[in-house]
Amino acid sequence: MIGDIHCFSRMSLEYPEKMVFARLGGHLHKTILEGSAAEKVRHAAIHAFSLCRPQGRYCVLPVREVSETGILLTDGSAVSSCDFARKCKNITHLWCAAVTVGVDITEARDSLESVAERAVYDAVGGETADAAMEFMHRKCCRDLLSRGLNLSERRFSPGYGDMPLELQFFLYNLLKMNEMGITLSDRCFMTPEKSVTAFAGITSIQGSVFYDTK
Amino acid sequence: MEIFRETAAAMAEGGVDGFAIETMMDLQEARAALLGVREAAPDLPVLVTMTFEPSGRTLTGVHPVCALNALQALGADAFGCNCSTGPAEMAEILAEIKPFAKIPLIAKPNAGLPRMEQGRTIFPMGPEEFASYADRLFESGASIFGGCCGTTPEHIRCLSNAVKKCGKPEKRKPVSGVVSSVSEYRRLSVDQLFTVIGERINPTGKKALQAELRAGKTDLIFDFALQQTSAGASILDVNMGLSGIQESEMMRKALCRLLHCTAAPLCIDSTDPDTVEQALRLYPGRALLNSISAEEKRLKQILPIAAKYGAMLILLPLTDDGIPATAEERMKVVDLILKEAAQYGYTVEDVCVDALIMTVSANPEAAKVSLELIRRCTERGMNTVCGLSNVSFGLPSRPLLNQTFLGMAMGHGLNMAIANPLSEELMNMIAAGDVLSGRDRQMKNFLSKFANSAQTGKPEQGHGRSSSAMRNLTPDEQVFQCVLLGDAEGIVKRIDALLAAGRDPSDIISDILIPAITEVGKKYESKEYFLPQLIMSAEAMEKASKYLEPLLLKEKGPGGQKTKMILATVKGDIHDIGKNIVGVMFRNYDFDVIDLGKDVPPERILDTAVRENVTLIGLSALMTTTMNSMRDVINLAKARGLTHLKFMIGGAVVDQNFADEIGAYYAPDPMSAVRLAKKLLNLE
Repeated sequence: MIGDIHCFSRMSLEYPEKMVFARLGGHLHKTILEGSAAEKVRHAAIHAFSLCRPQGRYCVLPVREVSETGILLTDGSAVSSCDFARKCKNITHLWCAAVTVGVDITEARDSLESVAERAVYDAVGGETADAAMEFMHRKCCRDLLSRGLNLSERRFSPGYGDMPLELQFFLYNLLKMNEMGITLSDRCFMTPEKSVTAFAGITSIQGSVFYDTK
Repeated sequence: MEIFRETAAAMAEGGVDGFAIETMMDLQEARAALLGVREAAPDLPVLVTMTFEPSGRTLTGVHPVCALNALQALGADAFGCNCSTGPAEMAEILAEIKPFAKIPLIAKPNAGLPRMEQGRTIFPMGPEEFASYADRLFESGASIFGGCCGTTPEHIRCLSNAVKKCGKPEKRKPVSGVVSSVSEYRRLSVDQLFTVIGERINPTGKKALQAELRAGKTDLIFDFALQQTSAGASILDVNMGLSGIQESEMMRKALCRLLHCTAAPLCIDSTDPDTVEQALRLYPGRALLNSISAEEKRLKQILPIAAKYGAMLILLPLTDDGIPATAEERMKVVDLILKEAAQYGYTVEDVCVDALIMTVSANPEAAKVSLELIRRCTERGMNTVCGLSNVSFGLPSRPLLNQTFLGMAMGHGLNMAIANPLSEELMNMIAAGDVLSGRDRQMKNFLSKFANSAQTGKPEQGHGRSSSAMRNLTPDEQVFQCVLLGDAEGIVKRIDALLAAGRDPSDIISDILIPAITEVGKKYESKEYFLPQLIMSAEAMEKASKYLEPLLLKEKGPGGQKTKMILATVKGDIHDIGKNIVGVMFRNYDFDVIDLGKDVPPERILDTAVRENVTLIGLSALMTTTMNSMRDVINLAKARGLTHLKFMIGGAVVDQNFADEIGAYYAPDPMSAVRLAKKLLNLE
């Protein structure tokens, strides 16, 4: 398992309706969706979701050392980020992941005339990519837990906080993201645009046991 | 599926006694595993368990009844749950599926819900507490027990002892006749609400759909699906039979699209065995198959395929000799097909008999024969279905004949129709028919449709203003409402009506459009509207303004200069959604927006500002890597001595702190951007 690339070539996701609604500024108790506008938004959102092709992959790597400034892996590569290292003091492994929802959604968005519809497509694409990452993360949490390992709930992504965006190159090569149809520019832009990468820490729970009958 | 089949074949060869497929969270994956095992080792028992969250669904949104329905139809020998939850939560899930289970139910819970304690994963339930749930699991329908994460041999021993005291399971008749998708199911039965199968995803007689299918596109299929389910169809018929295209390939394509956009169960409509096989293999649910007849080819080729995947059947009472003339003869054909289908495990609850309605213009007795067949089938508890429109073929006033026949057929017991749910009259008649036939118990369905329509006799129109409600408004109010509701299509004709009545164009703008968009802004800021509503209103307003602009020029000549401003997404960034939204809003508030697009170098922004004599510049960026390009623009402006320029910034990654740091103003949303701009330019 360690070092292998695990692929999710197809993910069955539910339409992340609440997240899209929130991303577009909707308020659960205040926003009133009515009339033809509401119908148009609903139609655009479902159409946009039907164009998302979520897929993802992840890899688990062994950690040699966690310092104040980052995480050193056993193969000598490093993930530098003080914020991340602070949250990962006891980790034994690093979870590295990438997802994309494909290019159809952004191509369709860019072909639209209505700015409102484009905003909806954009939100659906972004939230579906996040939902795909969340799905893969939760699935791994479950699988690892049954092996006595704990995958942290919090994820860190290159470019956020103090984690350098250049780590995209590390993930790109590690996960062979080109096989998912993703390209990475010199400035670390991913195409398809609605793609997400992340790290999370894994604690090997030595002495952490299932119910101890003794 | 190949890998499951290969694994199962190896294990069968090694001598296993059976298979346990477990911890499945995706119904399609569970189906693939089950099919793989069934194809590799058809005689060995297979137990399938899925893992449901405490919410009652799997991580991928699979409903437990849908999972049971699809997998037991596909040949699982037992079905149930493992992992994810403790026994209490699992008992609730099992109780929900128990009424539908024809096969034994399995319960393999965790030893409670896990929690972290000082870096240790703890499953809180000890063996005795775990075993104390045996009664609840048993009452919820479980007859095969086990444990998952956190359980030990001692847990299983205690549970086993507790189960022995539970007695024998009660005998019950499971609910049959259920079609399902991944997340929705529909029970088909003579005592249930009438079921409308949407007929529109069928290229026959639809030139636009034919052209789309020939081009390999599926957009109209998507539209038809959405329209029909919104209008009340519970199941969607999918027919891809068209000359010049490969039916099986197009069917797969259509299903892939439909699985992304509708939760309604599907009815696979084809007479081609290859198409039927591919569709049923792909469909992650229990489909309805349209159709099986007593024609030898269909019985020999299609029935085994339907049975392999467990599809429900529509039976056509016709043979190789044609359609029998009388109801009695048709009933004999139904029995013949049922006898054949029974060899594959089908019962009367698993089929729907097509009443085979022929046109009354060719045979005046046609309707009577079909009605009699419906009556006979209903008496035997069989579902009946019909394609309504055949009855009126070749006659005038076809909708009248169709609806009258529907009423008569419902009176004889018809409980399903392949019809167009976009016909409001038809759907209303069905709702009324359900009340009068006693299927709509306590009239819940009817009341929810008609409760507030006592005056008009028409059902509620959903939210918002219907066109009739619009007609009750003054022409001014209609234009105002168009902006408020974001009706860009309807606004121009309403402005035309105002102009025709002699209204001054500038008055329309100042007295109606501006107050309307101001009201929209207020609604957005109070969160009553969210972003798409704001933009749609702004687009309606923009359309109206553009329409009136030439009239204003004609009337008064060039007016005062609009305030110019520049908008740009900074160098290196290719995202322009946010910038475009802000642009629409600024134009609505009478700014002359010079939109430089995306990935714009600082030099071009500043050169334009100087050339066009602009003082306000709005910069947008979405990425952490490109937000610093905003700083580059401002630094270059300072270096060139352009100290009079004012910069506003916006975008997902920037905030007030960053704006302060680089010497810019910050606006978190489109409305506040407009307000800030007015303030900066002293336009308030």
